Amino acid sequence: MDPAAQHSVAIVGIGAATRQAVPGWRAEDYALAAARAALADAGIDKSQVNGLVTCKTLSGAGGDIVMGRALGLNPAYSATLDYGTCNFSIHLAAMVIAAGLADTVLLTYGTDQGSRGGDFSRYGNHDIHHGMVDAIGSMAALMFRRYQYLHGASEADLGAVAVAQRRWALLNPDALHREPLTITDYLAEPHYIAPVRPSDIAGFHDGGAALIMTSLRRARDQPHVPVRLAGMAQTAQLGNLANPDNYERRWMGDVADRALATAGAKRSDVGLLMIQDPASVWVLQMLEALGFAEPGGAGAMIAAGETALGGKLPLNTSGGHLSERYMWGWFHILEIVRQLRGACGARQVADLHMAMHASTMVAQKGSVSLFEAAL
Amino acid sequence: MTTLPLPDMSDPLASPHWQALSQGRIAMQRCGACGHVRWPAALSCPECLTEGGEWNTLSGRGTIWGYAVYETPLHPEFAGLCPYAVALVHLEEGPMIHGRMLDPPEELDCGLPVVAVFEQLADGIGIARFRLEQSRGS
Ligand SMILES: [Zn+2]
Repeated sequence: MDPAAQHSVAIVGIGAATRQAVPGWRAEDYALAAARAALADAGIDKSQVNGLVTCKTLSGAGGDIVMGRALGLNPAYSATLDYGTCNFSIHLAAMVIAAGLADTVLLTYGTDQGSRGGDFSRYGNHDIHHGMVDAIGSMAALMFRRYQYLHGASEADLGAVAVAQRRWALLNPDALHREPLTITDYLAEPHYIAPVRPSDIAGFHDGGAALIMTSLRRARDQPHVPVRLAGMAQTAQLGNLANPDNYERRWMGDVADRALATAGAKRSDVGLLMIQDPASVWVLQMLEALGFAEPGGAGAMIAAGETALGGKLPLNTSGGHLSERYMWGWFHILEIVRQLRGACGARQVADLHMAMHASTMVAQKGSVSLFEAAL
Repeated sequence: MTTLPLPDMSDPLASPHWQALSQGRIAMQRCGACGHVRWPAALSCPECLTEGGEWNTLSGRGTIWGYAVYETPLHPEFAGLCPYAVALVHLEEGPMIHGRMLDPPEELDCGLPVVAVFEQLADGIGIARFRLEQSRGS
């Protein structure tokens, strides 16, 4: 076996939790329910898990100490990341497995921010006193205004994102938003914070997600086709905070280049793209920064159907955060696994070999993962 | 008078910034070694790691990077101001800060030069607003 294959890791189980079994569930209860589902999906018992990587909510729930106790686990390795999007958690788990610290890792995330109030509606120092009500909506409006200034984009270019993702959601029975949305409907919505509209911003939802990752060697014994992590790369733009251009996330192109290089792949190999989308403008920015659209051309590309079912680059096929539900990137990974397993029914992408997940964390950290079915 | 939480004027690191605002100035630390102007306040320069730095009064001038327009009331504190815009201002010394624009939103655009003006938020606590350096109408 060549060294690369020896260090290869795969996702062999996925679990989701979206409904309370009893009233009053906390973030950890959703994470636990998702973990139970992921173990069942992988066809393993918790005794086979010897690594735990958890993701905290912005309010601090779901750390490994709490989750390990709830799960009754004494793993060889455990850790918590206090930022989401799932990509970072997957990369850590892959490193843990490759380094031999553990060979089967459970990854969890759970949140109760839908019923408890959104974690993003907080304000740094005294930005609230400027009248910056709702942090995520304000950021989205600022960023799209800048995007319009740079590219001459119209509000319909932005609306193309929400409309296209809603079309995908109509094919996803588990999506929350399944009312048809046309560009005419979109433009008829009053602005939320101009120039963005309510359909441009994801809501806050309760739920949880979990993954089981293991070495590709072990993955061969599992019930489902293993979904191999084919490539990964990150960036941490932490010293660059005074530069407002950071909000344009142009550095995601370099992250994509490096991730593709680790996979020995090129952009045309990517048959499914998932972009983390708490707000629609993230999708325009990243589609361009990643190198899949010309600067300023993402809206037209989406409106032309190039990212729809049967298009050349299906994008956010679950409906994404905007139409499926908000789960800090974790459900984007579940969608990739289901697509690569061929289990997506009406929205199944045909002849799919490789999928990419691109995510950013507050325009400070960026991450790209590539996956392929290990047939 | 605001009912929202106010900045901590006793914060030993950032209090010169808040004190300056109450006096109608924007003050930030300038590195004595490399000249980098930093915000938020920090003990050392993030560019060259030199400790310390003098609090300098900035020009109050910058350009609009982007702005958000609040057409409908989303919070009772600001309901009477609608429609208003909040800009992300790239200050000419380098840092960026948010500020509410005093001009009508339809007169704004990215890249336009702005200048800070100051208001009292509460007793002894100031805040910077911004207006276009040259009103488009005049
Ligand atoms: Zn310096």
